Amino acid sequence: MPSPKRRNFRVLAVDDNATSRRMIAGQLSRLGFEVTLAGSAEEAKDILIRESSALHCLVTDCYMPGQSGLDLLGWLKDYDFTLASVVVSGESEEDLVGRTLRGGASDFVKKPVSLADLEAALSKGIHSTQRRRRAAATQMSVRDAGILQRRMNNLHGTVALPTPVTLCYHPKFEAGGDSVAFFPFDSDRLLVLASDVSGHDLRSALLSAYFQGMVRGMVEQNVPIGDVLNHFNSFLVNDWTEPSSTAVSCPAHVTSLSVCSVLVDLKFGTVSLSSSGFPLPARIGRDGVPWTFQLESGYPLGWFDPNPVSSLQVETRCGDHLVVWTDGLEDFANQLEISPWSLAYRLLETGGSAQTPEWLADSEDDVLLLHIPLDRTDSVLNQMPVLDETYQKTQLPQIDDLQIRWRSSLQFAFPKIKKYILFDILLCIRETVINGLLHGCRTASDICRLTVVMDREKQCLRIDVADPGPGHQFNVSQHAALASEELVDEHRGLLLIHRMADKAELERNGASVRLFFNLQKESSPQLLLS
Amino acid sequence: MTYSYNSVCKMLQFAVPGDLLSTNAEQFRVSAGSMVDAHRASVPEWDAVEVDLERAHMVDSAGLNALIGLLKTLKNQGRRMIIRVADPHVHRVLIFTRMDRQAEVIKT
Repeated sequence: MPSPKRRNFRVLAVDDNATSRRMIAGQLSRLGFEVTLAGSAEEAKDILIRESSALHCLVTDCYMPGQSGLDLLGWLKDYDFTLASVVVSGESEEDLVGRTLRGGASDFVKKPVSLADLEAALSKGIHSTQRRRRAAATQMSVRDAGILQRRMNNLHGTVALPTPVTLCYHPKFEAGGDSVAFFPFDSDRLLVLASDVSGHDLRSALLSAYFQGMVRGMVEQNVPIGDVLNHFNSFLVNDWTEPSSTAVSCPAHVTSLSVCSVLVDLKFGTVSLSSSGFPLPARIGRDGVPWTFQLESGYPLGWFDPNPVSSLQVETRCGDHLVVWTDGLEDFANQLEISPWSLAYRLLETGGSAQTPEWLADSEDDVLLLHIPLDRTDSVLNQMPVLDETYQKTQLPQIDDLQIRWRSSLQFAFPKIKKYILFDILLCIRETVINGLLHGCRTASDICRLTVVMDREKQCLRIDVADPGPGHQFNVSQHAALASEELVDEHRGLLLIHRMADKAELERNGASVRLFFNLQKESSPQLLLS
Repeated sequence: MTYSYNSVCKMLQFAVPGDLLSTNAEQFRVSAGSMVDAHRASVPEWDAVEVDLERAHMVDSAGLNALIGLLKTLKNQGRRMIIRVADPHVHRVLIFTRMDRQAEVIKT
């Protein structure tokens, strides 16, 4: 007795042989399916183009004049991959069955077709179609959610902000857990809220959207941002987190949200920051050197209640910029074994384009980066760091590994850098860092700092290496003569960097070295000898 | 580092397997120094050392100082030093530091 439910399922049967077609139509009807018939692959395609979404399974003969059943399957895979198919054939060689299944068929049935075999194959096929269509619908919803989320994030283009913010936002999946919200209070004050929900699934995207909506509502009601965050923390701890279903008191699933708020006041030249488990923003001065704020990063919201949020207000200087990124950027930089500044540089070079660069495809997390100019009269980040690291004397034996990291970072930031310029830069960094660690760092806690800054306008790279030591007297021409004529060993590294850099400046008796390299110079190692 | 003695050219030959840097310069200095000492005693007629840096892509100041240490030893003994390089960057470093005035630098 056919199931009445099967009347809801429609099957397209394809066979060039009229008798076989009639037989299979009869069998399908006896099983309770609604049947549509086609006498060739070409005819079947016409039907599929018109109404594939109304069909639940395709049953096709394998060998037919013109296009075969396998040809039809190949076409269907591209046209509507959700519709399952069953192939019927009088032959049942292993090779044919294998080709059929590899071609995308959900099952293979040998002629003469028994009712039981056909019923089992169709049951499997229809389940497969339903499963694929549900998955496709979910994927479509996620894509739509992602588009909405991007629209919510990408307010820059639509809202007149007091300062031109660059936003680079690349979720790992269609919808992500990272988000940013802008609240321009007036022509001078802008509140930026960057957040990162743990996880990258729809649940994270939903919570992220909920957070944004709640913040927007509360801020518009003039609720201080600290109170907003405290309120959301309580919500996460007490209402959102699922309680344990077992006797264990540990909750089943903890969702947390790390958040950073930045309130820029352009009129009074201040920036107020707070962070709850968010990577601390960096301030970049006019010289391109980044500085981190003396602020505790705190715990993400959702971990503890109460969860005091640490905050700080500082005065800004002329030409200051703020760079904010989520931990996804740091994690990806670690994955690539490069400096996060190199990655930030490359991302900012995209100008905040919504299109995710190919090289970011392997990131395992959402990546969000913000550049906020803190000085309206100097809003272009012309001096941008690409490396900023500190080393201790104990790292001297690892200098080769450090050099590999410098090379990877520079090659990542400047994929078209000329080989001989990169060689000169690496050798000079090596010499200055070794010099700083050997002579400038006396105790284990002494630190040698390396900062590489790109002048984007002049296409010139500046390398700063500074150590806390007193330095020593050094005369280039005197030592050059001593080194070459009398083979004196000392200061050979300093002599090298003077020859290789386009410009070298020493301060504090050489405890602070500044080197310049023009990345645009057209030359070769042989020409440079002259 | 590997070494050999070329009796036809009366030359002691050292081959550096890669870069000559602060991390392996001391090893080069000790190995080369002890080989020179050993041959000085056993094979008195040789008159030059050839350092094969053809596989090096970088030589830093510590590497240069190790070469200069060897050069000083040889000069004191009245012997010559020949440096073979392939990489143009390494060649440039040797020229910049005027090594070519003290030793024969051959670009291959």
